[in-house]
Amino acid sequence: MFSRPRRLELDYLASRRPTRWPGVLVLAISLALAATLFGRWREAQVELARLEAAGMVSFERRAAPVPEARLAEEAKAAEAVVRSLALPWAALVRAVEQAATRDVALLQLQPDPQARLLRLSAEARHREAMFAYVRRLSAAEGLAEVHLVSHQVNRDDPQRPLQFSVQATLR
Amino acid sequence: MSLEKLKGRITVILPNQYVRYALVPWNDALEGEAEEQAYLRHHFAKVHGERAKGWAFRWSDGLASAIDKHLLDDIKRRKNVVSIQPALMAAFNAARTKIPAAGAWLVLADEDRTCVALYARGKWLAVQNARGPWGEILERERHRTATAVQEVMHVQ
Repeated sequence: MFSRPRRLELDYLASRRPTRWPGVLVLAISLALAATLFGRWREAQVELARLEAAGMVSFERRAAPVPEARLAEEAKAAEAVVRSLALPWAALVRAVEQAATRDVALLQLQPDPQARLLRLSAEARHREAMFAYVRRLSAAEGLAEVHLVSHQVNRDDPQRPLQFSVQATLR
Repeated sequence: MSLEKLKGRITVILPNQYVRYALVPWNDALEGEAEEQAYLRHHFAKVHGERAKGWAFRWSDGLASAIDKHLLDDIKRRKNVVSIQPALMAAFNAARTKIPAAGAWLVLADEDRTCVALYARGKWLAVQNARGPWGEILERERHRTATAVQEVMHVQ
């Protein structure tokens, strides 16, 4: 019997399950074990250094060569992180919030820095409020080429608000 | 929900270029957030190495996601943001009632990146998030998983 798929819950702001005692216990044991192992490793390091200084042992230290492909991959990853951090999230949200009016509620923000695009969805009390909001967005700093992508009446709601989505270019 | 209640409740959907996904079986012995994060970090580190140390993870029904902690902190600073969702989560939840019983390949195609995921018989069976045209990436995953599922759903 096929049942409706459950919701996927990967929200980074949703509350997580509370910590329970067995988990805390396992964590404490793991930490204690890690601390013991670290202590032993330190002792071994000190002993090795002593033996080496006394000339009883010698080690040739040579850094393992890093494969070129891995370096390129890491550079690409670093570049992606820099790009993501360069996106002014706070300023972006502020710009969109400032465009808000009494009759419009912003529901969803979906930035795509790669394509320099911002998609957002919102709900308005009526058509005029929706158009006014789009006009205000067009005037917002950091946004350009703002246009209405779709709109529909939410018939489930007795007040019949308009749900709409907008796409804009990030300047 | 009334308009007044909706105000100040913003959901941010993270594009797939900022998210990594992986299929991760759950371990019932895990207890609490710290263990869960460590377990997921271990899985992602097997594929992505040291970089996984700077990521924050989530898990749901066998599918895990990872995003950069700095990016997460940056978005969290806005008090009106009430939800931060990877693009696949938002797309799947919007389309889940339309997924046929036999399952489907979900395709999220961005400008130069594609995320494909196979959901069938109530389970996640494959996920791939990579640069490239969706047709090629879907074919590669189909070949790799050798599944009989034919249905392809383009979601956003």
